[in-house]
Amino acid sequence: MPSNKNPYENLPESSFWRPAVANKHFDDFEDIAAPLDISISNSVATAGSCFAQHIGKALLARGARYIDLEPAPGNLSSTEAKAHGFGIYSCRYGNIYTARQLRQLIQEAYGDFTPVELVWERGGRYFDAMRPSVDPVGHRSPDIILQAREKHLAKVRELLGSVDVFVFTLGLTETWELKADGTVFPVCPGTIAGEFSDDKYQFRNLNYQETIEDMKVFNSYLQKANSAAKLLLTVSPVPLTATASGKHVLEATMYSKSTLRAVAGDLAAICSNVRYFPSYELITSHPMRGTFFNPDLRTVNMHGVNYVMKHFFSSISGGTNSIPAEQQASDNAIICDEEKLDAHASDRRQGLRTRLGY
Amino acid sequence: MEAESCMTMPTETGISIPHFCELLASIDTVAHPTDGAEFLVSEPPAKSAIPIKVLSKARAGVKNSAIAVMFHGAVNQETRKLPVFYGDQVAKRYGETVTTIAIADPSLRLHKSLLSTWYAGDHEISTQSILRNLFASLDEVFNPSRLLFLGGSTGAHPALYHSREFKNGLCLLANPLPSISNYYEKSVQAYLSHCWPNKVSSDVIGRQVQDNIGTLYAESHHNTVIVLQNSTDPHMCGQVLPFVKNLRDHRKSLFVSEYFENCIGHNYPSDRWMHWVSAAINSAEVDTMAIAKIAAELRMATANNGNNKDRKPTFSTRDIQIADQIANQLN
Repeated sequence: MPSNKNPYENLPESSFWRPAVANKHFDDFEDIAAPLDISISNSVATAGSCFAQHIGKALLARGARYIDLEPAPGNLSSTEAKAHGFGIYSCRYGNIYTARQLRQLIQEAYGDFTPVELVWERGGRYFDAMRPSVDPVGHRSPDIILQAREKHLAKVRELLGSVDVFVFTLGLTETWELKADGTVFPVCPGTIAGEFSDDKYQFRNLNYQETIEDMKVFNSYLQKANSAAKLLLTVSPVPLTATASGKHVLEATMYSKSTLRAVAGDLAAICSNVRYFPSYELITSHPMRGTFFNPDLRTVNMHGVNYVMKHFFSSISGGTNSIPAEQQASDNAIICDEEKLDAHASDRRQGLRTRLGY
Repeated sequence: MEAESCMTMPTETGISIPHFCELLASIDTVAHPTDGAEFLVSEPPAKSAIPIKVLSKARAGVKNSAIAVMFHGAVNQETRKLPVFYGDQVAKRYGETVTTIAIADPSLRLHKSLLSTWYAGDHEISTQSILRNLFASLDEVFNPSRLLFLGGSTGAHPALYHSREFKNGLCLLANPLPSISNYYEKSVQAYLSHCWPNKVSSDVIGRQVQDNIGTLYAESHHNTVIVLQNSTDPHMCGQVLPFVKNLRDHRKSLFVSEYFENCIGHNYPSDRWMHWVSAAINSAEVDTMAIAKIAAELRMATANNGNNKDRKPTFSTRDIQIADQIANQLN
């Protein structure tokens, strides 16, 4: 018998703006992320733009099986290790800002793409043009770069073959490419190393079609390497530092993030192994009133990272937001968990605002 | 003896203060703060004990070396396991010359929801009294060149309270919360209901336990106090300013309030905190101006390093060593 109820009548509270958002303080938002069919016992790898670093660190701290296939030599301090690109992501690939960069990496790892320009020079030392930031002083010869790259690509293959959940944070659409073969770089040539030339390089702002195609290609490699692997996508909430698009940086940021958000959502709808986690919404949406940004209105503060992690771990199976004592950061200058105090404040909303200094 | 061999201890009411001092004297070295010896220290008639961890022991050759006592602030027990010992970084950096002792607040054990209990004690243990006796014994037995009391937030309450009588005491605080009763009412109520069941506030706060440390400092203090304050801390008006107005002897006190662009609220930047800790340890005298000068020099040195890096991001010897090590491991 046909139902005469309208389609909205049986929807949960989370489907309606007023009870789910307008009538709540953002600290009380629930069920923003749909339950993910991911377990804390799954092995997890991360890659992507800067914000992905927070995810990897948080996963590790909360006892997830976080993969690190290129660990630092044992004698390096944690600061030195980080400065040399160790322990930031699951392999030492540095920041992967664009879907094109991710596609290139995977195609190169499987021998389906060879960048024409792999080595940059500065001050008599040599840098991997695909990941120039991981070696802050470069190496003595181009041969070392090529040799190191071979080893790195082998690790990337190993990673894809063994990971249960590959977390990728989409960061940018803007990039610089080599005119000769379309190779894109993580940074503009001439900034960390190399030399910029209008003749050799050109600006590229990857659009929706290009970005989703790049992600589909990457996902096909992932599935071929490991049919059980899931791809969990997030979009970095960190705005562009600068744009070369000629637009105002605010408009350019909105274009870039909107494109990436649409790609992530559509890919999750199209591909059965792809999931989307809304960290972008949790940080940037207007109900949060910019609370989760530092005064530069760009970088995300610790409250924001903790807020995202709280929702992330509540959406996965066996997830806990608590950090085991042995994994707690030992470099806290002052141990003070005052973020919990709003539970005791008489007015939670006021308490949180006070805490955050406005 | 090695620190590890001290781990055996009574588990109920803990060891006495003299016994703790004996054991502390017998420790030669602590290889790493995580390997530090843990003790439970108590005094009759307490039914509980104070967890104490020796994070570092100054080298034997360092005569009358300083002792640093570390107090933690609020503890979210959903994410941290008790007991909480704060001070690893200080111990790591200065452990060769400073004996570093971390004290955990025992009263937090009474309920998982408790965030702060101010080291003020509960119906089973008079923490303020035991700690007072402990620090007097440490001073007498070890005759340290200086007794440093370090704490932030609610950890500043015990640091101020216990350092006050020591002429060689130097109390270094970040965003202090020196008054219990001026804190969030629900936190105070939680402390009373879980730690002092069947007692009313007026029987406890200000009677059984010292409440506002500012009233003591208004009378007198023998120690030196340095208050480091984030100017955007919401507790500035309710807690900090009423306290610092009691610090009238400018030779023995200093109040430094700063705005930090990337550190807003009830936080203090760790690098800046460590500059002051370093200055407090390394200054030849316990003198606020001398300590402030060293802290400022450390800050400028750090800033200059950063600027130089921006101008000439070339190649430190250490970075080249690391790069060569990475290259060598390719073979």
